[in-house]
Amino acid sequence: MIDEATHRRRVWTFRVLASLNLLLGAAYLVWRYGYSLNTAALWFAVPLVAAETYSFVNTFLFVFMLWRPTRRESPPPLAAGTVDVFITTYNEPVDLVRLTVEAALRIDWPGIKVHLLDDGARAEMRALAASLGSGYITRGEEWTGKPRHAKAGNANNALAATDGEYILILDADQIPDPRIIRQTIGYFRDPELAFVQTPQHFYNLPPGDPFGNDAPLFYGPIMQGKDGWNAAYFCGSNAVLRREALLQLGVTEYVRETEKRFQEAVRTLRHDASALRRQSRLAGDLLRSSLEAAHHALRSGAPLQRVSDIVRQGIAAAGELSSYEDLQTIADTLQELAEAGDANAAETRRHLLESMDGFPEAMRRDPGSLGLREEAVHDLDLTRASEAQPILPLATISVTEDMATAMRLHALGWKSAFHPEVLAYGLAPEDLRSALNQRLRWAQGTLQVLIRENPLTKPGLSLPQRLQYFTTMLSYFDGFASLVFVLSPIVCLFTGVFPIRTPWMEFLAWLVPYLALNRIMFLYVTREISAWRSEQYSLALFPLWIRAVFSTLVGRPPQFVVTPKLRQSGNYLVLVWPQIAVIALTALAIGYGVWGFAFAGRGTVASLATNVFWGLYGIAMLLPIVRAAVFLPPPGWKPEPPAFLLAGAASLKEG
Amino acid sequence: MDLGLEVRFLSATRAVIAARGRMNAMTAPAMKSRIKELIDEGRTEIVCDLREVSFVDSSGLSALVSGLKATQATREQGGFLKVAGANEQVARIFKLTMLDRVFEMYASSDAALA
Repeated sequence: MIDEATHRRRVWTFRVLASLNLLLGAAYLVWRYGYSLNTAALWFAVPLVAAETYSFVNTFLFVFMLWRPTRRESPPPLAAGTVDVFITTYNEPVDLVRLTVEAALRIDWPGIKVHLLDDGARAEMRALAASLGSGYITRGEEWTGKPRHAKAGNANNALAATDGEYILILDADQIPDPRIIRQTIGYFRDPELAFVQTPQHFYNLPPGDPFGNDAPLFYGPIMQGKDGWNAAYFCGSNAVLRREALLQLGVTEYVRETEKRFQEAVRTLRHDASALRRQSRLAGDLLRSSLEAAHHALRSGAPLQRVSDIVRQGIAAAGELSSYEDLQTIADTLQELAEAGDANAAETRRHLLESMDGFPEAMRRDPGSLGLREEAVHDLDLTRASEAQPILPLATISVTEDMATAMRLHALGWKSAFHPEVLAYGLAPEDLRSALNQRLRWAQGTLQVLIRENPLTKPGLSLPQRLQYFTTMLSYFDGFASLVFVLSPIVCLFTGVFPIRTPWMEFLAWLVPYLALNRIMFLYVTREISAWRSEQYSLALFPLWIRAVFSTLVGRPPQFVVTPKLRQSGNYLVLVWPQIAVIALTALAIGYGVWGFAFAGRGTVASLATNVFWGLYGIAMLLPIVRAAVFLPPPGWKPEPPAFLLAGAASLKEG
Repeated sequence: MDLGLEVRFLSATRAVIAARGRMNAMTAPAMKSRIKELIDEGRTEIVCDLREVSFVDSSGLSALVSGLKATQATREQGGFLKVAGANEQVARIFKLTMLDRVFEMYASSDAALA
């Protein structure tokens, strides 16, 4: 832990570097738009300058994010507080889960209860929990035939079955440090704090982290930066949450959902009432006016039960009224029959008109026949029959439930904290396919949240919080800019067409200082961690980011997939064919460019050098993911969790 | 829930409309327009077979009464609309409303045409 003065010095150093960087970037963009666009090749110039603009916006958001990072030290633990540990599992092997449950049972905190949340309802997990003495929770009957909501549903189910004041959530593979509660629970002294997130740390990263799983940039400067804006994320595991906050969120969301459902039902029924009006004007009008009343009642915040009653009474009255109309029609017809000489018709008519007061219940209109959509009528029901639980504290709108939950908590005014100390040790995917699937799921989930609950417009968030969530969401659009960047040197070298119309030296004079300062700033931020692999992956995954955007914005909603934690064997070159294609094209383009310069006198030294350098840089960024596709762990390499976490460690110390 | 309508043509002037399900505001208009079509085609001897009808409400009755009126105009040429096979619950409504005295009601379509 650094002292306050060092922290301040570092923050100010960053601010100075960052401000210079932004100034230079802004000047560079002015020059790009105003003085250097090659208007003769707009098909090339416009995408490039758009990608550069996008990058500048990202840099701005990055700087803003890191403007006032937190420097957190564990506050002294609370005097007391009951804690439930949720260990969520679906299909992980018993031995893996055993490590986590055993370590959780050793967490140093009085009043802790460990629960194994087995969404797979497996006999061997039940047996494991029983043998170790932990709780075991699985879904009950009420979930049959209802949406299960994956991990969020699993945790929500357990929330209803437990009562601790605080909840530590752990994925099945996250082995907790015994101090995890002592180090974090003190934060809850702030009564407005909803959760504390700690980093994810992986003990199974092969040498060199071939799959780019390590996330020290995220679980370091980025989260500390977000924390500074009271926008630390909940990341699904290794976090302690306040039950009260989750329950408040659940109830608020329930009311919000129900109101929305009511509004939609009333809107649907208004349509149906218009259709009914064509059939029976009075009944349609009657129903419409009761729906109008319900609509206003909803808007003015009347109790939802009252709204429901208004609509139901309206439906009943419309049914009754249309029955009377039918009766009148029958009577009129009978009158005509009587005039044509049917004596019985005359008598029946008299009978019917006399019985109008005590209308025969038996012939009252079928309530289902008003042409009202049954689902809409059904939706005007407070029990939320479509869900297994009416109250769903953890958000279920996305496959990345954690981010949505954090955003909703922040919108309700709750605070959060990021505690930068590693207090749980887990597993990262050990093969490229699993790693890519996990990234895709995160990307799709985050974009889903953007679509369903746009942070820029969601009520309750502060402006910095909005920008924090938006920054994350926007970053998943990187793929398009990256594509432009990796293709640009190829186009330049093959076609000789350049996106700029100024001499190359002038271009370099603008670009190099900007890029250099950008680089210096980034290196300053990441001086204590290795972020190079993450950087490579964030560029190299451009096909995956693009796919995520398309599949989420135009395709089917993604399903929650449990990321396999054990190495799946296979050769994954087919997964990285776009990267291989770009590398091959770049190499060809470089060869072609050099040959053309040497033998055909094409281009200048500056243009060639810039494009070759640019191309080589792209190749350097893309190569690791191709290597990862054929990666095999070194022979005999077997990851082990840190020894101090394992059974026997504590007793050894004592012995 | 739809009212299944099945029409059997017995001769140039005679047809049986067999309905199935609930006769209510959603389904009765189909019955009414089917009767009208038959009359337009010259089939004026019509039996409404309600054996498979579980429920009739005011709009169903209204449809039948208007059908009755339409056949009434062809009475001199032997036109009629008879009701057959009403179950207990349906028959009770005819009785309550005294419409059983306006319609000729039979146990089955065969009986209605005997």
